[in-house]
Amino acid sequence: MTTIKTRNVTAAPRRGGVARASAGFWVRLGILVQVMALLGGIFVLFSYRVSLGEKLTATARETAKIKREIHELDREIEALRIKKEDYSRWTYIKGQIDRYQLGLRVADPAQRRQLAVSYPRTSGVSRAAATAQR
Amino acid sequence: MRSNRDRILSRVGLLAAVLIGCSVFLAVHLYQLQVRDHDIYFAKAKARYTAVTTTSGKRGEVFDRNGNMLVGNKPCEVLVADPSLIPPEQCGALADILCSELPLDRETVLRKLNTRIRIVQRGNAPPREVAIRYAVIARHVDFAVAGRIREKVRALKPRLPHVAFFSEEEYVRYYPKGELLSNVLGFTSYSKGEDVPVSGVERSFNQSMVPSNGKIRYERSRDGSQLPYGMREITREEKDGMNIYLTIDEVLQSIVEEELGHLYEKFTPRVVCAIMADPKTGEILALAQRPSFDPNDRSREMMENKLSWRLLSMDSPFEPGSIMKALSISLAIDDGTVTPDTMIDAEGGVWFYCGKQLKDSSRRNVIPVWVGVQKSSNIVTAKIGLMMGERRVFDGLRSFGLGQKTGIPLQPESTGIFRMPKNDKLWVTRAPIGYGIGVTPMQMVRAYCALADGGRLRKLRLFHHAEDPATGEIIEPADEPPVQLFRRPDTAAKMTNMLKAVTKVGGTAKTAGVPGFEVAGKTGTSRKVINGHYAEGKYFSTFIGYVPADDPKFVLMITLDEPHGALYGGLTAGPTFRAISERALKYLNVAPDPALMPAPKGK
Repeated sequence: MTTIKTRNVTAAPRRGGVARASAGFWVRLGILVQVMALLGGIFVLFSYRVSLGEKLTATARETAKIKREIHELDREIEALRIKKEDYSRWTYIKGQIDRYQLGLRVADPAQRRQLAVSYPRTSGVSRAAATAQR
Repeated sequence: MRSNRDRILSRVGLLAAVLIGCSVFLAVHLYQLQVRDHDIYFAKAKARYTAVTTTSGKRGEVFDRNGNMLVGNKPCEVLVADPSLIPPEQCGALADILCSELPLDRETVLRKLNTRIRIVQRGNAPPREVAIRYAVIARHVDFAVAGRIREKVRALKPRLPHVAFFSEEEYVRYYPKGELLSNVLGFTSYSKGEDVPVSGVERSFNQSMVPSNGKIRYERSRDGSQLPYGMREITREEKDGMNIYLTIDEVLQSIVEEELGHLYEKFTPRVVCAIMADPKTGEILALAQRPSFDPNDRSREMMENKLSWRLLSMDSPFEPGSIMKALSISLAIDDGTVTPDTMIDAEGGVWFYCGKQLKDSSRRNVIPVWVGVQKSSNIVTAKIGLMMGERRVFDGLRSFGLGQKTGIPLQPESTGIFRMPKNDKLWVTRAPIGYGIGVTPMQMVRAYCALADGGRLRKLRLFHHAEDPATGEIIEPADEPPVQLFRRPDTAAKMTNMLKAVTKVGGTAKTAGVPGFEVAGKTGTSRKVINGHYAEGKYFSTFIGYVPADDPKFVLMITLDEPHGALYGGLTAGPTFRAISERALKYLNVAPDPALMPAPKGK
């Protein structure tokens, strides 16, 4: 024969138990809200971190792109500098003078005149200002 | 008897123990991996996904005194393909793109793109097939052309993986002025990705110009290429080489080279060279030679023609002939042996001494020393040598820098052949007229710079300064004070006055006279020595002078080796001296003296 043990549960609650149960509900709800708020905060932080990381990656990508462009431009400048030196070669210049029949020649020093320019020392007008006026 | 509950509890307990045991094991293992051996495994992982590459700085560039570039680094690219990633049906299209932009043979390009495997055998191991992942299609491709090729390759359909065809940056040594100053600048050859200096400034200043390599550690992808946004750490900074500034003036150099080119065409000598120097500083303003070469042309013909890329004005001594007379006579004037007006017998143009004959080109008897200079009398100068004595001639000429290096930092430099032979009584009559000794044109220019600057002997300079491109720091050579050669303050002026007569009516080089200026100069014609004997019909023909004579802006020497059609320096080099001087003086803004201008025709 199997004996089943039962617990004697009182059918009617004691006085004051309703108030305690009601308080317990609010405490549990408060804890739940707090936990949800905490989880929400963690979620927000996490999302912010992810979005920050994304922005950082995008910025790094942009920086790398700009650096690459600067590098390309530097190389282009170097190539242009070399080209400029190519064009300033006397044999090239002479070839162009002959090609376009420019008839240029070096000025004779005897043809040159050096003018000594003196600036009037007027009151209140500085030399720099006089230069600017000119 | 155990109940069901006990059995369940014991099983749960066992399972819990196993789980706890596993957890403990995992925790311990995790501790070992993440804490205790963290550094070891982190280093191993880092070594797998990071790679180290060597970067090279740029070789120093070369400029003239005004900052005009003479040698630079041209940005270029190497075009590389990974044949294993290029579908066979796209090889033709890729080859078409490459051949449309570059002078390449289509068959060769196709062969490179289609060769995907090579056979490798090491030692006694059986041969094995290795995939070709790196095939160089073209080197030294112009920056702009490489950009166009990249654009066209990107437009191919279907699109190629970006590692299937790519370009790598490089710099190629470039000489924007072509032949200009090429013998001085020299050139580099290209070996294993590095510039190897062969001659000239490139070789002599290599230590300053060579860049130092840097090292970069970077995060790499599975195929080995650098991740564009991954970690990139410079472990060692690369450093560009120093920029070298020469004392050369590009405009004067262009003038000298142009006129020298005309001279070379007219007299077709074996070699012709010219040196222009500032006597007040010893700075070389122009240094030219024909034949020369274009250092951008690395063809076999150029490399084999060594005569065209040697610097003969420094490494090739010659018997200077009559241009030596100015040095000998100035020494005699300085020690009081003679004055410009001392009368000396020129023996009617033929004189025997120690059984050997010495001849003059003009027949004169007793003449003053200054006329001896004007007419370039060998006999008068030889007699002055005898009056001075062997020791004084030797020491005096040596004090002008003969037999010594000139200070130009180019290699190789010859010191010439200058020694006093024992028991040779003839030497004292031959050395003063420029025979029996060997000098380089550079040594003669140095000596004439001393004459032009009142007897102050300086070392010649080709190096102006060096500049660190990163910091802008400038390194200048130490300034060495000149050595005063003459004891009498008027010796140089007296010699200059005598040399002025050479370029006037009655002198041996009136063709070298520049209208509006006094020119002091001396011609020289000497027989050429080949294998220890004077060669028949082969001469050196020279003119050296300075202008304006009393306040010289430059000393200019022009030497022709084996000219054809004329021999004498006054006929060959003289007119070129005049042409160069006229243009150079205009460029230097030196106004002519109206009193010295020739009268207009018809008046």
